[in-house]
Order: sequence, then C-alpha cells, then structure tokens
Amino acid sequence: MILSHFLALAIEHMFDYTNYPTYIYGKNPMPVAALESMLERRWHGAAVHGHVLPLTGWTIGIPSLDLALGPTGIPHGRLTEIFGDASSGKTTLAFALLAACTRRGDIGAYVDPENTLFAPAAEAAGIDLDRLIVVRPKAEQAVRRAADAIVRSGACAVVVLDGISARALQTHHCARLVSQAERNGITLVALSRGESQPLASFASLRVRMRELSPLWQSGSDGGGRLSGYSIALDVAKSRMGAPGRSAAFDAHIPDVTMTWPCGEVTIESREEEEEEENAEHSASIA
Amino acid sequence: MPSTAQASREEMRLAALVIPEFLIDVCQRVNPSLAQRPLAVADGVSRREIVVANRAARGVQAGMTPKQARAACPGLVVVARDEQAERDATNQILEALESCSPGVEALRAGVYFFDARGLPGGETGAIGAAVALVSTLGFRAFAAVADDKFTAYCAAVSGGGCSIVSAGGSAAFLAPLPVSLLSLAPGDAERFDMLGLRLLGQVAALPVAPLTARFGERAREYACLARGEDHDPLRPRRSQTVYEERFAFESAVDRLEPLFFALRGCIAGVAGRLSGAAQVCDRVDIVLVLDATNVLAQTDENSSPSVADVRVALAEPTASAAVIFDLARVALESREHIGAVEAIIVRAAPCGEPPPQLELFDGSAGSRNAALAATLARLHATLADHEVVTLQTQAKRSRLPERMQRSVPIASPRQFVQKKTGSKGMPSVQPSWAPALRLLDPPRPMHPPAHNHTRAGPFRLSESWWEQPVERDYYQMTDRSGDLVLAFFDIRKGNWYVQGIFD
Repeated sequence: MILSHFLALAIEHMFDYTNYPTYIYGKNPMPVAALESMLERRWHGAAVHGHVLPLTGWTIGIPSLDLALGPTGIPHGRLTEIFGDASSGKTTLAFALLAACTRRGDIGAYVDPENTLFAPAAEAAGIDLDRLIVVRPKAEQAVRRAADAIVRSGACAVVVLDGISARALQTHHCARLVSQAERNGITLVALSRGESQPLASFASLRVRMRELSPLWQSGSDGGGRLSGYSIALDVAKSRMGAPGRSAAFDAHIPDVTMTWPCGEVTIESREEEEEEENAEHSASIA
Repeated sequence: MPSTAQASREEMRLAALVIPEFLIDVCQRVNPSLAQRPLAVADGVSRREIVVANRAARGVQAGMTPKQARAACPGLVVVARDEQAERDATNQILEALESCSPGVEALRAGVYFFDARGLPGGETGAIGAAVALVSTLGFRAFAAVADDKFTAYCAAVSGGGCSIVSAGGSAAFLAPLPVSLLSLAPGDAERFDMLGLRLLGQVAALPVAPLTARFGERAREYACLARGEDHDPLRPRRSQTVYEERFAFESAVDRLEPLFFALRGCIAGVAGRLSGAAQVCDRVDIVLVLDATNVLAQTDENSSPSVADVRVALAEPTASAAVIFDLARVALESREHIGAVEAIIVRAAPCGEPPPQLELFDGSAGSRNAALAATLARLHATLADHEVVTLQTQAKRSRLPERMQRSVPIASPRQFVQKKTGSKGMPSVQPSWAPALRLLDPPRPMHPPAHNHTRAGPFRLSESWWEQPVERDYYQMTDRSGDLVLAFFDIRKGNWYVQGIFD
C-alpha cells in the first residue's frame, strides 16, 4: 500500500520535473536517493537521467493570488490555462502577467485572432506596448502556425493565446507547443472557457476564474462610476503544488476618470488637434 | 581642331521627360476615384502644408495649410503624400524608359533623362515612344531632346509636348526663356529682377566677373546653364544583379517533400553565389511554375494563372542558405493547395555587404535579438503584414474606444531593442489596476437593458460632427447574462450596443 503510494508520487515527480527534494513518508521526509534507488529496483534501470532544474515562475504581485499559486507562481516553461466565462477576470490576470513580463524588459506576445485586445486598457494595466507583439491571424491553421512560430524561437518570455487560438489546439498541437515552451522556458498562457480537453490535460496550472463582481462608486452629482471589481478564482490543477486553493482580491481603480469611456481627455493644443483631424480626414479619404 | 571633350560633348544628345503633376498623378493612380475632383497633396510632420494641387483646385496654392486650402476651394480633397507609392511609380517609369534607352537617370520625382543617341526611330520616335509608355502608366508627360540636361529640361517644360532642340542650338533656344527656370538660390530671383535680368539670354550675354561679384560663385553655374553649357553628365541607374537558380521536375509534383528537396538545392546555389560575391540579400523570391491543368493553383493577383509567387522577407540581410531555406519552408507550408509544380525558380537580389558580426560581442542580448528576428521572419512568412503588429494608443485623438488605438505593422526587430531608462521605456513605478476591457469592434447590438440593472452613466460622447457625427450615451453596466460590459445608446440610431466586456 505504502509502496504503491510512493510509486505514484515518484511517477508524478518523473513527469512533472519539479524540484521537490523530499517526499513525505509518514512524518519523516524520504531522501531523494532512496527514492531513486526504489525506482531503479522497480524499473530495472536508471530512472532519473539527470538533474532536475528548479522550476521558477512569475509572481503577479497580488498577495492572496500568489499565495494560492504557490511559491512558483505562474511557471516558466509550462502551459497555464486561465479559464472561465466571459467577464470573469481572465484578461485582468493575463494583463498582470504581461505587465510583469514587459516591466522586466522581456518581450511578450498576444495571439489575438478576434481583435479584442484594447491597447489603452493594456497600457493602463502596466504593459509596455512597445514590447508586446500582437498577432492577429484569422484562420485556425494560421493561429496554430503563428503560435508555433512564436514559441519555437524563444524570443518571447510570455505568450498569451486568446479566443479561438486556445480552442484551435488539438492534442498533438498542445504536445508540440508545450515541448517547445519547456525547451525555451516560455510561459504559455491560454485564455479559454475551460472546454478544451487537450489544454486541460497539458496544462501544468489551471486557474478557474469564478466570479467578477463590479464595485460601484457614488459620484457627487448623484451618478455612479465603476471603481473596480472583485475577482474570485480557484486553482483547479497545479503540478507544482496542491490544487484546490482559492483566492479573492479586489482590483481597485485609483482614478475612476480613467475608466472607459474616458472622462478627461487633454488635447495638447488646438492647432495640433486640427492637424490631426486633417491627417485623419485625408487618410480616410485616401 | 576641337578638343576630345568638346567633340564628345557635341555628340551628346539627351532626352528629358518631365511629368509636371507627378504627385497628383500618383495619388490618382492609387485611388482612381479622385480623378476629376479638386485634389491637393499635403506633406509635413509637425505642420502639414499643401505641396501641389491640380487644376480643378482653384485658389489653392502651395504652402497653404489643409484648412486654408479647404476654405479657398470647397470640396477639395486633401491627400497625404505617399512616398512609397511615389517610389513604386518611379521604378515603373524607369523600367518603362529602359525599354527605350539603355541609360536612364531619375533626377528627382517627375524628371527623368535618358540617352537619345542612336535609338531606333530617331530622336522624335524615341521621345514619342517614351511619352506613350509613360502615359500607359497613368502619367501625363512632356519630353524634349537637346545637347544637355538643362536645355532638354527647359524645352520639355516650356514646349508642352515633344520638342527637339537641334544640335548646337541650345543657347539660341534658351535665350528667350525666363530666368526662373534656373534653380536659383533664395533671394536671387529678386536680385535678377531688380537688375532687370529676366531672360536667360540676358544672363548669358553678361560677362561672368560682374555676375560673380554680385551673386557669388554660383553665378558661374547660372551663366553656364544660360549659355546652354550644362556639363552635368548622364548618370544612369546601375543595373542590379539578380542571382537565379532553377530546377525543373521530370513530372509535376504535388507534395512538399520533393519540392523542398529541389528548393534546398536552389537556395544553396543562390546563397553560394551571394557569399562568393560578398553580398547578402534581404528578400528571396520563389516562383513556382504550376501545371497548366491545375485548377486549384493559388496565385497572387499580379501573377499569371500558371505561376505562383512566394516572397520570403528575411529578418536580417543574410547569405545563409539554412536561414533562407527555413523561412522559405515556413512560407510554403503556410500555403494551402499549392498544386502540382513543374519547376521552381529562386531569385535573390543583393542588398549590400554582410554586416559585421557584432552579436559575437553582445552575448545573450545578441542571441535574443537573433531569436526575435527569426520569430518575426517566421510570422511574416506565415501571416500578412497587418496581422503582425504592435499597438499604439492615441487617446488624445478621440474618446471613442474604437479610435483610441491603432495597429502598426512590425517592420524590423530593431524596434524592440531595449530603450535607455528614462525614455518612454518601462514604467519606474508599480502599475495600478485598470479595468481590463476587451473591445468589440464593430460594437455588438444588444437588447435595451432593464431599468433595475445596475449601471453607471450616462457618459455623453459626441464627436466627428464634420463628417460622420457620433452621439453616444455610454454606460458601465451588467447585462442580462450578468457580464460587466461597456455599452452605449446610439442617440442618432436609437439602438443599444455592447462595445466592450470587462474581463
């Protein structure tokens, strides 16, 4: 009984390539050497072929969320699936990850076949748009090729697959992408509705966005304005830590005038505005 | 006995071809619907000014702002100058003129010279053919032949058709023409006018010394030009070497493996010739000669039905066969239904010498840049240019969400090179939260919300009253399915739309 438990843990270790130096044996940790010896006896040969590198990841900067994700955070070189209904907070999480990526000076990529990426929102979330490659293929096959082209060279630290790009991936596509992401240390993030079995199977981390509740702020004129929202999520699957953890946090907007539609727009000068209008008018005609 | 230089000069016969409304013609070629309409071309970055206007744009002068021009001519269409279209048009004109003469020079946009000696049909026939060729491209041109460039140019401009200035008759031809045909330095036109010198013949008749005393050394050039002694030789554009390799299959192949086998050999040949010439290329053109019976052939608009052109843009200029083949393979694999291929042609035009291998000193940054260049080249081989972009905000232009951003095609991996701290680069402080809005463009119609729905608003936005008026009442609300959305009520149409989803 105990042996089968160890074997299960060992097999999980073998497939996860994570760096857990010990496993719990009753109240005492079992040495890795003993575990390797046990595996070699069981499988009649060397079970561990090399040193397993420590797994690192991205921390989002939200204490409750980072706590739920474990010490690794959103792992490098792995596939992470963020799933949930529309308006559940998936994009907020993806923006936070891309902001962390571009803030560190790395390049991010966003596969956006449905053209829903809104640049002002991304910039307000802290993403450096000059370091974000946006790819907008139309057909599913083009989506897969674009994702492959981005992941295989390792130039982008974070790659977000949005919309149909997540649904377009079959099992063999996922296997190829995950393999290349692992080789190049790329954080692959898929935003989905949670209906893709291949994604669920290949993801090392699955985050279910449970709820997004708006927070309203009353205005002095009697009207209201969106001042933020409260997001609740669950860790549905984690190969780096225990799944089943939940987190809830409030995303407050410090300046409600910067929500969309923007209430305050400052034009630098009237002349410049006229010139811009002329240019736009000419371009629209041309 | 005349000297050798004088003898060669006497033998020189140059044709000038002038397109007086080159910029206007280019715009009308790009957008034929602009023909017969009052049209002006504007240029400039910080301050846009009218550069040229057609005859229908009455009252419009160069130097006006677009606003002043529209006030002077109601209904005027102002078009931004399109330098890429101008370059394309110039190349087409030069290629057309090279079918008339082996030596063709483009002095500037709309002014071209070519060697008119020994052409079939004589000088008259040559310039007539040149004008006819250019007119088929959509340009109205004038042409003339003379002993030197300046005389030929003046004859084309003043003649208004096809003119021939006889050999040795340049000075007599130029004498009655105005001084303004010279490219005068600022202020010189007024000085000539004050001195009563209004014709080129008057300038030519004066001794050079008094002229240089008043105008400086540039007066020598004025005097030479006025006498019909333009010594500027013809500088024909250099013909460009294009390396080409071909492979013909014994029977048409419709699978990629044999195609790649042949392609690899062709690319290796082209790359070897590039390397041997110490050159690199930034683009490779692959021509697939298709089986004539193949009806599923996917061809470009400009190619014939039996030929498919595949253009492979390289991230960095290179002569590496492996890099070129890798991208060519991606470009071919991304095409569906290539069809049965009978032969394959690979062409590469050198674009310069190999760059120094600075990445050897860059370390990891160099390898990252190379990886990024490879990524972008693969994306460009797979997708259209407008599908690989960076986004820019333009919140100062409009408050309407669909106009608050624009996509810019990624031209080069160099634009991702890390900027110095303190420039626009990375924010130095922790970013604050902002609502993550997913834009729906075009907006999606929705049912009118119930009155008990939680919402904030309305926020009235009115824009573009001068062209397409927009009047919207925006709301942040939860819709019937419980999603937090940005919706608006179109006051003019009386309908509700969802413009974005907070996610």
